[in-house]
Amino acid sequence: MTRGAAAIALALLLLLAPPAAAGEWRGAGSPLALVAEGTVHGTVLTGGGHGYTSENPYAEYAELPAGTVTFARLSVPVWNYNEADTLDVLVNGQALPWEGAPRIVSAWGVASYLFDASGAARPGTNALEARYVNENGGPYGLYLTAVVENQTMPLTRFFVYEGNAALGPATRLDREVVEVDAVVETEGLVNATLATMQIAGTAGERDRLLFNDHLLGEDVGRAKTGPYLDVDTFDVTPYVNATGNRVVFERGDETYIHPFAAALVLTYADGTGVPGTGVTVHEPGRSGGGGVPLPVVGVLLLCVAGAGYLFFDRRRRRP
Amino acid sequence: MRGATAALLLLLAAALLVPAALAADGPLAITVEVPVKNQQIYAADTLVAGTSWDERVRVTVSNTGGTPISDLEVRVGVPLGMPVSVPQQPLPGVTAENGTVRAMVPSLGPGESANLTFGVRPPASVEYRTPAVFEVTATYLVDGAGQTTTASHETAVVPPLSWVTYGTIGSSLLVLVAAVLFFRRSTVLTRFSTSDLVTIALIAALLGVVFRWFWQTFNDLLGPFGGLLFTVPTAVLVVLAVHLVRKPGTATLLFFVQELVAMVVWGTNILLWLGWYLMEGVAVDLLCLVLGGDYADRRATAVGIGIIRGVVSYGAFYFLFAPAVWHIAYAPWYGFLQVGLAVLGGVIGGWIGYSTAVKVRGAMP
Repeated sequence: MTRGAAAIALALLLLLAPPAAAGEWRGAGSPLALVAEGTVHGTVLTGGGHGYTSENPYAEYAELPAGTVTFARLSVPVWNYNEADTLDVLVNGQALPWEGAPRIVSAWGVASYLFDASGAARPGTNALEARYVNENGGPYGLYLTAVVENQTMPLTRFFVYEGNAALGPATRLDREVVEVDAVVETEGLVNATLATMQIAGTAGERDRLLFNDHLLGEDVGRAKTGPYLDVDTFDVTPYVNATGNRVVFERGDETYIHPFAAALVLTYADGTGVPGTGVTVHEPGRSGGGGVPLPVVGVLLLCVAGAGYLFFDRRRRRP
Repeated sequence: MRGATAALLLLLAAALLVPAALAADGPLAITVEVPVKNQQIYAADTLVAGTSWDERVRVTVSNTGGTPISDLEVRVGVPLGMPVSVPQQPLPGVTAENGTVRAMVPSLGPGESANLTFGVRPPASVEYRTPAVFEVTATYLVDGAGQTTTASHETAVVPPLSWVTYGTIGSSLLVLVAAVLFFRRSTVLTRFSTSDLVTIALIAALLGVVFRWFWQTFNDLLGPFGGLLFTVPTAVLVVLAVHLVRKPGTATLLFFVQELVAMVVWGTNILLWLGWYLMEGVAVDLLCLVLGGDYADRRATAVGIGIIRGVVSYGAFYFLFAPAVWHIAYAPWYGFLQVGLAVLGGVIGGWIGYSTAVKVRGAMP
């Protein structure tokens, strides 16, 4: 083997070796999964974030009503995750423990960090702050989902879904479907809202959001909450069914879009026979993706074949 | 002598302190930050028209005096009739009405400060760079006496230059066609063979798929120099393509195919970015034509190809396409730094590319 061939082989090996110390193609991510559900007297609040601004620290404030915060989860979507990155999150000055790595990473390092903020969030104004080390990256938002119990409030049933689904041509994913796997009481239903959080939508590229096949909006992902961030709430009261409720995120002509969170919140009138269950928390999904994307392997193989063709083509033409 | 030195030092200290004291305009200092972003990267005091989001504005009032301030009312006049939104913030009771944002701060002790944050939606379009002045008026009590401090903060709303995305497509093609017509009687103008097209397609695929992935994967390892991981291989491969194919239009075709491949594999928006890809190709092809058909036959030409590709590509991105497509205004020094790094990558890549191209050409039968 000549030195040149050895160098080419080494370069190919380096290209194909799973990178150990840097971010890489992380694949399709993970579908939105049920992480919390329950029925309580109280309310469920979602929101937070003003887009990708590279501020460090990145600060947000969340207002919670009077009551007991029985569940609070902070979802921090971050651009450009790499293994050496750090993310320290404080709620009201209290540092939240984290696992040392994001829960879900997809595409080129769109990461989903999840923090349990149940012990730190409180009624009133909550100061949320993220400090991070991330070369060429940072948070898109600090998205808080909080269940506040208060016996004076109406009965509320809720389903909270979290994930990080990379919809795009590179993943061959065109839609993310969230199925509500439960029988829902429609008697006495006063109000139903669907809250969503999406990353990387572009204005003018028309995605679609549907609830039980009813179109809630087109071009919902258009970076209206901040650069690359969309936080929305929809009234879905007329569309709620007893069974088979589902949310569909359609990519449409978006080049990339990542549905990150969805919460269905149903509010009932007093005296409805809906039983209170408290809050049940489920383990969120985990996905690191990784590996070399197939197109990269395919192109490298094509290049080997093409180089062979060029070599023999020129040799054939040689006088 | 020692006394004279001490006196001189005292005088100097007094001279340094007096202007500061004279410059102080009441005990309240007002600062305005527009937009609230990392201003080491993004341009300060610049809003790009046509964003789909509100840009945040932060007004900070600080008590720089030694006496508490009470009943502080801050009013901010928002220019150009920009719609205002008020996010959650520690300061209660922030309101926005008729283009004025108001907030009350009950008391502000010496050395304390308070932030007022709101969002403004830049106009959908402006014809030219348009000044936008935020007028801040603060009224308050100091020792029971009413005082007022005002501040004007000038920013600019810049047009998103959306014509750039379409104009460059047309003008790049026109320039290339004009150049080809100009050189049509020359021997340099010959048609692409199958081998040429295969070469271009392979190199374009390497650029658009493999090296894009490689750069995204490893760019953090080099920190701020991460861009070199794309600019160096790009310059190497462009020089290789130009040197092997040796026909005008090679670089333009190369970058066009790269864009097509990136669209299919990664979902790049071909319409928005086509002009950008064509520009760098046209620039390289023009250089080869102007040099009389020098297809990186000299190391200096190869380095020149790397440099011109870096300047055109990164200059167009940071100063034309980022505002036009992403509605982002980068800080000028940051944009120039990136162009400088691209030039560095072009020099390194051109140098390596020449050696590689000569060897590859020599290895071909």
